[in-house]
Amino acid sequence: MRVTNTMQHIQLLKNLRNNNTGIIDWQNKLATGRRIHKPGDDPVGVGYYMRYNSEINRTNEFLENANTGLGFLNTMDEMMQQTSDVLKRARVLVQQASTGTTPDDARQHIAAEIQQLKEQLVMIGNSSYSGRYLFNGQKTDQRPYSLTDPANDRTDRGVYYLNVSPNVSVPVSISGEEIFGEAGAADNAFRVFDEILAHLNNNELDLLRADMERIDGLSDRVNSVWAEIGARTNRFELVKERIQDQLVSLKDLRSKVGDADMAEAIIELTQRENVLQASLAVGARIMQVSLIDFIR
Amino acid sequence: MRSTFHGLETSKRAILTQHTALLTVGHNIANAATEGYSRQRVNLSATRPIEAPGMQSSVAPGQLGTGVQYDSIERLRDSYLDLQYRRENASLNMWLVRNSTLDSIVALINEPSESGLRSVMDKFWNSLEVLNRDPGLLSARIDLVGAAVNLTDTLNALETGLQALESDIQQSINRKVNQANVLIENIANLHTLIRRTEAMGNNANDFRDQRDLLVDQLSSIIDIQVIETPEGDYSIVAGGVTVVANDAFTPLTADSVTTAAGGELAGYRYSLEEITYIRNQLNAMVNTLVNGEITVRLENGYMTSSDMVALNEVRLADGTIIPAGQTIPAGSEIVTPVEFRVNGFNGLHRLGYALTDGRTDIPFFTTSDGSGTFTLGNIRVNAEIRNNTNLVAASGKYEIVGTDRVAIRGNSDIAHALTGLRDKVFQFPANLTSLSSGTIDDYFRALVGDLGTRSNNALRQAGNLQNVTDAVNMRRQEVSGVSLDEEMAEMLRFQHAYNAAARNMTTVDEMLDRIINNMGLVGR
Repeated sequence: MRVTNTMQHIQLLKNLRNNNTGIIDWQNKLATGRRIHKPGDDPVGVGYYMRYNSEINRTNEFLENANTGLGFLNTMDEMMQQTSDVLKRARVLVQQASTGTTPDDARQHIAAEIQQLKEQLVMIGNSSYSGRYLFNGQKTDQRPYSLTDPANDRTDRGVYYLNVSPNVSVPVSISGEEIFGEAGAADNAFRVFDEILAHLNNNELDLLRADMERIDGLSDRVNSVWAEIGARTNRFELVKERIQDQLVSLKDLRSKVGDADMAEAIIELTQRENVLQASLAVGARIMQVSLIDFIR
Repeated sequence: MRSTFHGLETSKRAILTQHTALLTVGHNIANAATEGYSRQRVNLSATRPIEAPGMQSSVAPGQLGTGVQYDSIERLRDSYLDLQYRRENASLNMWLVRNSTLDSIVALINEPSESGLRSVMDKFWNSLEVLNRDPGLLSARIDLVGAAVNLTDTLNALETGLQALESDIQQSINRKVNQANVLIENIANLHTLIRRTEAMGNNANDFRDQRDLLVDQLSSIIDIQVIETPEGDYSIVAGGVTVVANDAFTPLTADSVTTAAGGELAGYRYSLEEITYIRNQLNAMVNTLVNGEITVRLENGYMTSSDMVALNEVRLADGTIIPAGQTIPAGSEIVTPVEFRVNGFNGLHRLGYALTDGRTDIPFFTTSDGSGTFTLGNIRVNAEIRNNTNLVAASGKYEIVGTDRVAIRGNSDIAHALTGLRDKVFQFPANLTSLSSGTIDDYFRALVGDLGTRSNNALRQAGNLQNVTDAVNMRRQEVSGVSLDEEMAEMLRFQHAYNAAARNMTTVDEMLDRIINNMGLVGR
């Protein structure tokens, strides 16, 4: 084979070009710690990488949703505790009032306290979380219960859903009527309180004894709603834990697809550096030598 | 009968011929680094010996040599390698242009990154979750509108980028056509010079080198076919059109882009196709998101404001049961889960009611040109919504207060359904990507993966062709390139021959001196 100077040039430049391309590639991987910089680096991997990024962003939002849901439910839980306390106190008072030994004027005092308890219940019914009424379904801007006639106030039955994973939403809100009974119905808590007040004022002891059972009925309903709230809280807490686990595994997966293997990158880069140095040295050495150096 | 001065004449011829050979060595060395130069060789041959056969010839034995002459100076070149080089070079340049355009598109799409379209879309979908968390919250609405404007701005910027790329390519096409025309004109002009030179029986080596170099350069721009007949007729067909016929030439026009099968011009044609392709894909994604037909389910029911048809059996608040496919009158409150067929994001948003005045049928996205088809360039967030975030219709129910319609503030049924669109499987136009149905996110990922495959392919093709072209070029240099070592050796050879011829002349001179000046002087 005839070798000319231009051939040596072309060969050297070609080798330098190839070596430098390899070096810049690995250098970029090493400097950023990432394996995929553009779709062409791994057309299949890039899809996964983008998916994991989206999922992580999305899952963070689901976590936020779960936190919001938990905030709501914890407040509701607190309210159920208070409702239960109110009902317990009311039962004690009604029991006290229903015995014949209690003097009539004492019943008046009891009536005053029952009135206070009723107002307490209205307050609970009107409780809010971050500026939104808890027990009025979707009409979060409207106070569900009035002080004057809460027994006949209708609450909205719309449900407030939060997404906790793709295609899975969990209901959060509970309508006031589910807790305190349907508007105007015989077992509506406010109506029961109104009637207890009337019975106290009229000293109707038999009816007061029956009222104790009605209070028990109210407690049962509150307890079942409370249990429902507890179940939802558990669900959100489980979801939250799962989301946190998921975030870890998603980040792990993303790292597996998208991160450069540092050890490999360093070794590859060093290897290519050596080759580059060798090719530079060879070029410098060969190009210096010519027949001209040896003829006088 | 030989002449007295025969020896002098022989040496003179040798000196002159070796001189020529040395001059040619010098020419080669001078052009060792000249692009397109082919090394030249002086073809030496012995001159006619004496005596020529004939009746008058002497009876002296043997034939006496008369020295050396050169017949021609020729260049060493393999036209088959030229053919190969030009073919590969045209392909190489086509793929280089295509690769660089794909690189630009990849840079424009900017994936995977934390500032590309994917991340902007993530933010948009996430802000819908925020709205669903608290539909009455002003900051949630501002956040959503901000994210949506960010999304449309990003899409618009992609279109602007693609357009800039296209106009750059158009300009490059014009520039390349002009450059090709200058080359074509020069090739035709050189033909005249070569013709004239070779008519005199000489080889037009340097002119031919120049012409070959110009043809090489032309092969970068467009695929060419060179036809040279033994009679010296020379023509070039570029992109199927004869552009050079001897000294006549036909300039290329911008239309040559459509006929070019190789070279940068073909690369530009493919580049424009790549841009159109990616634009069509992105347009399909945008239009499908905004307009694509989809079935949505509203778990909490819905309050109709006009006559509607549901896909399932529904119960109204007053207990009426309306079977699937039958008209639900305006103003009915549906209390069971209801399914509707709607046209994409806009169609679903049109179902919703605005926060304050209960307005409905508000498109979330609008087009800047009023067209019904959404594209990268024309998609905008409805200006009304931008100016008044209360018009984000998150609610699916309203109530009548007095005579006014008022949306239920805490109702986020529509916002909730909008967040669900992210997981809905849409139908996409066929033949654009490997994906004909999938979520919007899936489609974008498929599109990016697809782009990656094509840019990878272009990079590999360009790399392979670079190697092939380099290899052919190496072979060409092997045949035609100047080797300085070789020229040095030749130089020594001719120098020695020259010196020896001069010495020979001196010897003949001394011989004649002896005869003329010193002979017949016996005893003097």
